[in-house]
Amino acid sequence: MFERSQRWRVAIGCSLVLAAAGVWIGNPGLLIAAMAPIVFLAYSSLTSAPVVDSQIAFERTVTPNRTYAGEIITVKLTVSNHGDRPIPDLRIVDGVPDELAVVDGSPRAGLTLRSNEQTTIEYGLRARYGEFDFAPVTARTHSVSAASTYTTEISADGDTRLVAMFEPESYPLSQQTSGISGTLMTDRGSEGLEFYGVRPYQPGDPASRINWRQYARDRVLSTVEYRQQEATQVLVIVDARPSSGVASAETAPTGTELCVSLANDLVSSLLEDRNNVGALALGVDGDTVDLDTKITAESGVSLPWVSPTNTREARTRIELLLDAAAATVRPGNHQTESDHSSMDPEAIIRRLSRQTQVVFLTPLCDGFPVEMVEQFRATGYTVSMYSPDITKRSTPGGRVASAQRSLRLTELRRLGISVVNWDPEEPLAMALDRTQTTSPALSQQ
Amino acid sequence: MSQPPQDSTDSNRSFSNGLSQTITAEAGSVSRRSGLIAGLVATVALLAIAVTVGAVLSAIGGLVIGIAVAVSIAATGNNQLLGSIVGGVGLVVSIGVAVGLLAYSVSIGTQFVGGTGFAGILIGFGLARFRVDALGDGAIAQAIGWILRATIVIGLVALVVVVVRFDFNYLVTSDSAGGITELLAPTTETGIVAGFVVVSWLAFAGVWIVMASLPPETALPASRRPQYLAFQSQSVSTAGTVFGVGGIILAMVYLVGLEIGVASITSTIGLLVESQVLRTALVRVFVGGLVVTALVLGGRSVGVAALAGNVSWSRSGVVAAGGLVGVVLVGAGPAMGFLGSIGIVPAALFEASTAVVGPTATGLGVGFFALLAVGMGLTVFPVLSGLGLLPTSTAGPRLVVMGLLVATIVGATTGSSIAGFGAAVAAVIVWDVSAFGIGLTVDIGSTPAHREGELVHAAASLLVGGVAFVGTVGVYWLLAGVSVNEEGLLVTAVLAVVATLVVSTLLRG
Repeated sequence: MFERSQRWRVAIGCSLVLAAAGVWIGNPGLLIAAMAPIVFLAYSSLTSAPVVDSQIAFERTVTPNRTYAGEIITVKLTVSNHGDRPIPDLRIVDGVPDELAVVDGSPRAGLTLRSNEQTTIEYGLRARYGEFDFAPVTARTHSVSAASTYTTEISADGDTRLVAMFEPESYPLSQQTSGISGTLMTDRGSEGLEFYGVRPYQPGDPASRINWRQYARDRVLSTVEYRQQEATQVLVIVDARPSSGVASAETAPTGTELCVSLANDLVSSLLEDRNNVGALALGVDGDTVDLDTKITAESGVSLPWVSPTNTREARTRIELLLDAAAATVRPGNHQTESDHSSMDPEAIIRRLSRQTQVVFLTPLCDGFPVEMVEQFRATGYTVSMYSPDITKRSTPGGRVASAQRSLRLTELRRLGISVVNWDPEEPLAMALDRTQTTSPALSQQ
Repeated sequence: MSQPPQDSTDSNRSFSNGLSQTITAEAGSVSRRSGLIAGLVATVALLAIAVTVGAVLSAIGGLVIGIAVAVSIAATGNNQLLGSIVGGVGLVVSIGVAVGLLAYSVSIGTQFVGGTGFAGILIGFGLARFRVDALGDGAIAQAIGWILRATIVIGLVALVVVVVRFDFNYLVTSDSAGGITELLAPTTETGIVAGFVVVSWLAFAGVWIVMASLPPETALPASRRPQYLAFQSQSVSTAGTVFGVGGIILAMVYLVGLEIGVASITSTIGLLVESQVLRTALVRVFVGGLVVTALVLGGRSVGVAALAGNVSWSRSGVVAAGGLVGVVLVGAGPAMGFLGSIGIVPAALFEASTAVVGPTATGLGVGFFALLAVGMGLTVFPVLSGLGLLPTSTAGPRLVVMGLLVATIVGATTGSSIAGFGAAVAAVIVWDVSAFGIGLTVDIGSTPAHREGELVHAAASLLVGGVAFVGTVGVYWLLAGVSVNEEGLLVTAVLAVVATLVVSTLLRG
């Protein structure tokens, strides 16, 4: 589409002002000076914006093009001028999906491309849950005088879609876990790698563990013990209630998405370390998830849940559960408010063994997680919490919400809960380092 | 072009610190390269004119003042100390210097120096507007608001000083005072006694009316209400006792002493009763009470929230306005002398005012009206913007173009036509390059790493500008060589301009 700019009206105005001043003062020099702007008018009329539909091509790469909500992805857009003529002023805007926020670089550029030259622009997006299609690239060219403009849309080759969903079939496990022993340390001597102590020999002890040096020296049989490494059980609770499905900005990830992303990393890490891992999602209707296990409270509320184990199937089931949790905040989706706060932790506790550790992932947007943690704690379970901070302090309401969240964090710490307070703008590792510095309890887990 | 969403971190990345965040323009910001090229062209063209006409200092001074005014206006939007000190005070000082420069140039008969300075101010302001938020987005309104607040402070101080320093002797000696002469300088014994009672009761009335106008105790927290009520009550009763009852007793004793001929009474109490100084002081208390009452009522009508709600104004603003008052007090004398010497304000007016209310109040009054004038003067920008002559999106380039047109006129009228042609060409180049930079920022924002189109466009613009300059100089020499009278030359040139305009318009389709 061609457009003609009105920018040279100012030049006409200059000419008229100078001419009027010249007539008013009676100065021929000003009248001659009034001709100077007119040269520019003539120049602008002689140039025209180039049509570039068939002259330029775009190729887009999205890395990775399959990811999870909350992750940062890199987009590279390469623009090539295949024509014989240079393009003096080419402005492009990549068709970033409206729902996604640009967090690094810019999808826009102003370029000068010689014949057969190509340039690549790079920017970062923060993924949200769902499938997102990139729109065609908007390209605009100007004539050298900038008086004439041509705007068009050109589809890019390469990646045109970003998928940020948990699709178990698309993410095969890298290894089959054995489920025999994990890496969390116990304070019991047994088989293992790390030296624990020496005890008197008992009949039946393996010959390989007899302390032969001591026998050679003292002629007394003793057995070497190593620190036992055994699998531990972890239940990951993801807070996907409506109160968590909020964000600090329109295109920022919601608390639910951040918790899901965090849960995915956590579950992967724990499973790779050969621990038994289970998951539970608050705010997800158990009847809507294709899982045959769910917890139903006396109030009738049912939650999808995966009991702690270390199998390939468990990993798949957990991903299904996380997918359902993330889907509650899919852009354009309106989560119906349900009274999950009536879920009694007793119903969950009855399903857990005494050795199970609870990891609670919640943005702490209300007081329910604190009440729930109190009950877990009261019944003797070890609880730790990861909490992404989604409060926005630039508004009065945001400051109030932030202050309330700080009070909840203080309350949790007073209860002896290890809390990782994570600002999504910084890497999680920084928050972990900070927490481990101030809370030795977490580092021991 | 569609604008993809940006995180706040993205949009903030280019700003280095709080100051730049505060004053950086959003709308109408010229991109860096285009702004640099346009600024260079405009400055060179201005300096060429200045060198030709011999007003280099005026041009440079104008540039600096223009930049200072723009930065000051932009800074007034800041709600902290920066806004009041750098913004408000800077604005007053820079505009004061600008007006002084222009007035001085006119007063000494060097209009071309003033014209060059004015061009420099416009260009400096416009170039600064390339980057700072000095026009549009409420910047001018905020600056006017600050100026008016400072004006109110100075006006109130002036009012108080007038009350304190008003020379009642002037009224006594003039014929226009009427009955007040007998009160202040009585000529009869009855006048002495009755007049003293009257002025005493006037003083009491002054105190009473102030107390009566104060806000009700319900405006205060419950814990402070008893003290507040006690203060009001005690003030009225004390004033009534001292001024009301005391005045009557003194007058009666004086009268009795006078009647029975007790010399010791008339020689002691008479000093008080007959004292013109004391009477004047009592009248001052009354007038002061009226002024304070008016202020209290005004304040009450405005509301406490409006008076104390703005933190910047109630803290740093008051500090800055207080400093401004000090500056006015110190600089009042020299300023009045300067204004009188250049004839802007009649010297006789100053002399009369100084005789009645003293130099301090006169200086404050001058400051009051000067600030008022500055505030009103700034309203020209919103008016121009409303007329479409100075839209926010292209305000900076348009101001620079205006400055260069002024420079062109200065050059042409002082016989420096060649330099004038250069300034005219520069005006169009500046417009072309900077408007391109604005459009580029609108299209692709300020963050992309790729912005190569600017240099190509600027080079083309400079090339065409060079052709236009050579062409105009050629036409000038050609016409100068033709032997026609001045009227014929004018007609020829007008026809040439009109013909070229028509042809160009037709060519553009």
